[in-house]
Amino acid sequence: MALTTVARGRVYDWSHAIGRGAATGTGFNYVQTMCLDKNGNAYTTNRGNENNFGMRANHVKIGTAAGEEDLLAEFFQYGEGDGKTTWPFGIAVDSERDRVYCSDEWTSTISVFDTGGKFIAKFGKPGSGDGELSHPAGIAVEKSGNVIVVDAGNNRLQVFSPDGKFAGKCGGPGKAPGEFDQPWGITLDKDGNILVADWGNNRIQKLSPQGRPLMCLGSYGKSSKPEGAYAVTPLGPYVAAEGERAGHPRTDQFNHPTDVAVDSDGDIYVCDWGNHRVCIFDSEGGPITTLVGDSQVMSKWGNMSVSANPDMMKARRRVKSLEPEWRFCFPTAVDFDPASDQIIVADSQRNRLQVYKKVRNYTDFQANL
Amino acid sequence: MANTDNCIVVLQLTGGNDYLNTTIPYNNPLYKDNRPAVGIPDNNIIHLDATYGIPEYIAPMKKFWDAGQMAICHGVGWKESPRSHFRAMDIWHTCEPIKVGTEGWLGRVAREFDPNKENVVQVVSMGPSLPRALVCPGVPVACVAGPLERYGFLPQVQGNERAHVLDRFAKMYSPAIGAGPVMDYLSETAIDSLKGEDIIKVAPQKYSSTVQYPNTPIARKLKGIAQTHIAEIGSRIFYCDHSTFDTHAGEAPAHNALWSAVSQGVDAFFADLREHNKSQNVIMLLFSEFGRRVHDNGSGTDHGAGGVAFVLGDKVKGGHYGEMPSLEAGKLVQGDLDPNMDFRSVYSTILDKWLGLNPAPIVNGTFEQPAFLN
Amino acid sequence: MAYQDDIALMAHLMRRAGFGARRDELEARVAKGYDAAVEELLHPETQPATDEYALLRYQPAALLPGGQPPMGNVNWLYHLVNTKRPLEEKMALFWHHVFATGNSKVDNYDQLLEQIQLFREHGMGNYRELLSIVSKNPTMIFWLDNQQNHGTAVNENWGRELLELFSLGAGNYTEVDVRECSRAFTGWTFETKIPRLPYGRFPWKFEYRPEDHDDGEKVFLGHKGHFNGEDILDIIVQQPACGKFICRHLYNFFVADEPQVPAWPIEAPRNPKAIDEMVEVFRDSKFDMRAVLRHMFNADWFKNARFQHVKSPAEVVVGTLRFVGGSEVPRPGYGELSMNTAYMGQDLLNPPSVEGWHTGKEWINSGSLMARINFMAEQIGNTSALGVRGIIDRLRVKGSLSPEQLVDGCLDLLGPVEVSADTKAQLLSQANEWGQISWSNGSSAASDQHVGQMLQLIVATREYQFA
Repeated sequence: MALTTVARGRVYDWSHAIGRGAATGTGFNYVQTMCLDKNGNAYTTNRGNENNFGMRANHVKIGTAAGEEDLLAEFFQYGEGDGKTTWPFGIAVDSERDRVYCSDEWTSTISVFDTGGKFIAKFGKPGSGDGELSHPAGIAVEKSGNVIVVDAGNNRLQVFSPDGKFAGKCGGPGKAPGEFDQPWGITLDKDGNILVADWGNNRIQKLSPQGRPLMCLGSYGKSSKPEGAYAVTPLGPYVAAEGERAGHPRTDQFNHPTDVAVDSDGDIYVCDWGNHRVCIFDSEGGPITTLVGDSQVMSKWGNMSVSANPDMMKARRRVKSLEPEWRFCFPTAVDFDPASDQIIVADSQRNRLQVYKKVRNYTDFQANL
Repeated sequence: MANTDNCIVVLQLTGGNDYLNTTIPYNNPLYKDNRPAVGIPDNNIIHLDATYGIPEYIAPMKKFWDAGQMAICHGVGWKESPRSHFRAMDIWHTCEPIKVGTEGWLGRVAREFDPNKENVVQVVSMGPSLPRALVCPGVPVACVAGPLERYGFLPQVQGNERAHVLDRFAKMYSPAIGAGPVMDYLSETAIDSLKGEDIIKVAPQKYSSTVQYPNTPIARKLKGIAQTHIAEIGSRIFYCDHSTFDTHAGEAPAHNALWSAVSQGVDAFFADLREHNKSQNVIMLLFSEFGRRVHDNGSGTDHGAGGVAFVLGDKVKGGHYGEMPSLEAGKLVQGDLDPNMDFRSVYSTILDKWLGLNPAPIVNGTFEQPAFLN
Repeated sequence: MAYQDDIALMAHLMRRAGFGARRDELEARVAKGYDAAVEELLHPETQPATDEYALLRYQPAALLPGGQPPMGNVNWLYHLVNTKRPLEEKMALFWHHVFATGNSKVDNYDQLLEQIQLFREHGMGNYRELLSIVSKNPTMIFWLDNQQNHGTAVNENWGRELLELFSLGAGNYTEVDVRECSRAFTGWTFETKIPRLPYGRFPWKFEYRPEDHDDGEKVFLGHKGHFNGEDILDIIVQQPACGKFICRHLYNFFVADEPQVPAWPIEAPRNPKAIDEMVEVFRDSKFDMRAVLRHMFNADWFKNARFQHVKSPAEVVVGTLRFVGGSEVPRPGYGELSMNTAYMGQDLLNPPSVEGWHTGKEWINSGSLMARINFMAEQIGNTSALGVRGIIDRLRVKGSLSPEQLVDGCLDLLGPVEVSADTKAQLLSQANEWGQISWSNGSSAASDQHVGQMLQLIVATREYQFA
């Protein structure tokens, strides 16, 4: 199966995977959101489970090839009080000001850490008034240092100053442009325009820095299970007997999108959670292609688990096809690192990140090889 | 030595305790080879003898060892041990490695002790759910979900009102003529439970102690057991658990926290019993459903086979029983220690020598008995 | 009074075919009529499915919950509490009682949830088809060792339980039939799945291996041929014992408590005529479960069988949570909430054995009785919960209530619940201590409190343990 995807003059090359299931330490536990620091390293929030395991934010070195990954820091673990969390959700880093913002959607607060994970402050409280939050989700930091919080339960965006003072808001519940239904992830393009994954409305919204609606991208469409396909989970993805993308709707149809990213060329990446893929568009919203996950090479940390467990190794050698393992399963976040041209996707149910590279100077090979 | 007032406390280490990091074969180079990430460093090991050590965070257990009151049963488990928590735990509870068993071994003990179900507080389980080890048709078990003080019906009602409301409750459940067998059965059950509540609630009222228990869930459970035992209300089988020992990731700090809580709780528990001169007729069994994989996964250890069990008590003959299965690669089974002591052996000694029962019908067979009790 | 009878009957239907309903819902259903209510229940596709995406947004670990509680329980509880298709979910629970498969051995809650989903989809369809689906369900295959049932070495576990527990009942086949049945299912297995480490769980996939199938001649229940599994199922459903067995299960689950299954060969059904009627429909409809259910819910013996069934822990917990409200969206602590059925003796997705749970009075022992009463009392005593507010609001419009009115009002709005004269006297004596209660100035909070306390006493009664 292809590791290089070519479409409309663009080339995407699968690079490596990072992670494994782990409630603490070297791995992930249901990543909800992700952001990149100035070095291209990722911060993620991990939702964990009802045994109060796995909740945390971590800082992970991405590198440009398999084996370079490393766990840099862990913070925002489960618990009460400063620096702790119940239901971690959003994360954003302000490398200039040495700050990381994390949202907790249960306590409806934003915790502020330094980039090493040391707790600094906390702001926000439950409610629907100015400066109050309900189930805060994704976060983004403006060049000014102001913090935009996706106030999902209130179906709006709120802006805070770096020290947590209310500075503005936009949106409200609904389906019209500028209105939201439980939005999830957020990103800013180089001009400061705001892109939001409008989860419940199955679309991406682009707003001006002032919050004026500029573009709505996508409509609802759900994968269907092809006859005889293998359902990796009851809600997909589906691996068909033949053909690697069977069952997907059109590229511009989403099922509960969770995140969006913009690359240095202005191309837009949408994390199409419920359809288990990343959809790529040009800056005008024209569909380019989709990525479905290609994790054919085991991650470094994954290898440690497999090599410590002879029975797992044995079982893997008996499996007819590992294709179900390559595929995204409910991806929750996508980011683009302009320095390395890497696209990083948080593959939530598989507890890993998949890294692709947007290849600039791809020379095609002779077709008659 | 079996005595009719002998009691047993079972402390279940739920999740699969890492045998190799609990009783460490510190001289064995294979230990270090297999534990690059989670091995206990030499200077953090307390030596029990020339072969085995325990991590510093299990230090309170050293007292029991030095006093000759801690039996270490090595390599416990059984052949074909499954790596599933549930299945493995079920097998420990029911002594049925082949089929799915429905009766628990301690449930059977309780039935032997009290076939007519006269004692409604004979079996006390600290926790909301009923462990399968205690399940046996008709055997009453007092499941204490919260603090002992709040045990009983309608714990929302406290204070002066409580006696009054419970009295009304009892009247609502008083047998009624012609109500039918199921209604009668409900009456009987409720009245039994109320009786149990009356008996048990005496325990915390009568209790006083200078022993300070740590503020951990397991210490609170052990304190409840101590209170019940000291009150001498006829409870003989106590069950509690601590979790989760399922240290796939971040094992070093997790195992530390788990065993610190357990060992400090156990230490306080026995100190409390001794202060009340009530330790002579108590033994405690600590077990886990399986040990963990020999080679670490870079952060923790995954599900394994052979494990370790401890038996503590004044009357226990301390020492090693059996020996640690070989760590050599060729001797491992699927990367695990090959169990060399059947867990039913440990039960058999306890049943025979401490509880005075014929082990065979309870553990479904005859097993060699390690001699940790006289 | 006739209207009150309609409400009581609708409450009965909803307790049995679902998990109870608040008064508003009962009134709405009564307005449409009993027949319409039954038809709506029988056609879940007319109602929206439960929103799984909302669950996964809050609790992603509930999708592939692995082998340890409670995330699998969280998943099912979320469906049970939120479903707009109560009979679909109740039938899933029914088949879980019959085809009892447990995490204790399977060690994959995700695979058990997949099985429950099959019950949702096919539970009201054709029984013959369901048998085929269950026979190919890898979770069941593993639970009963059929992956070890080889052409060269027969494992009888599945073959035996198929006959004894899933279709005919003991005494309706011979040991030879067990053997031959098992031979017919040789080669029914599943593919090796990708193991759980390091990226989490993947499901099994059914696989038929012809080379491992014993294609020799078999003699099964008087029929002779080179039977494969499907042929065996065809023969099974034609047996008179099959209809009787399944219908008695339905009767025990939906109508009135029967003795435990092992006693069925010895003890006659409580209502043989009812069973005969159901069996006839079962046969004439070619094993259509929907047709049998329709007949059952419309029969007088169903309508009259009030409070003759001890509520299962699932009925207690789900019924209470749906009634009081507030558990529609997962929240921290939902895991603990989902384990409450286990504390009452019904560990969902983990029945004690392939025989499933013993029901009726066997739900009750000293520990489980305490657990169920305390759970219900805690929930129903929450006077700010939506469902409890609903009761209070209906009572407070009367301005003030005498002790009798308080007791009658609470009994009515919580069911209606029928209690004995003795029980009523106790409730009344409690209400008398409070005297007349009112919602005039200042006494509102205390009156709310008294309603909550009265409701707590009612859920603690013997009578309330029955549905």
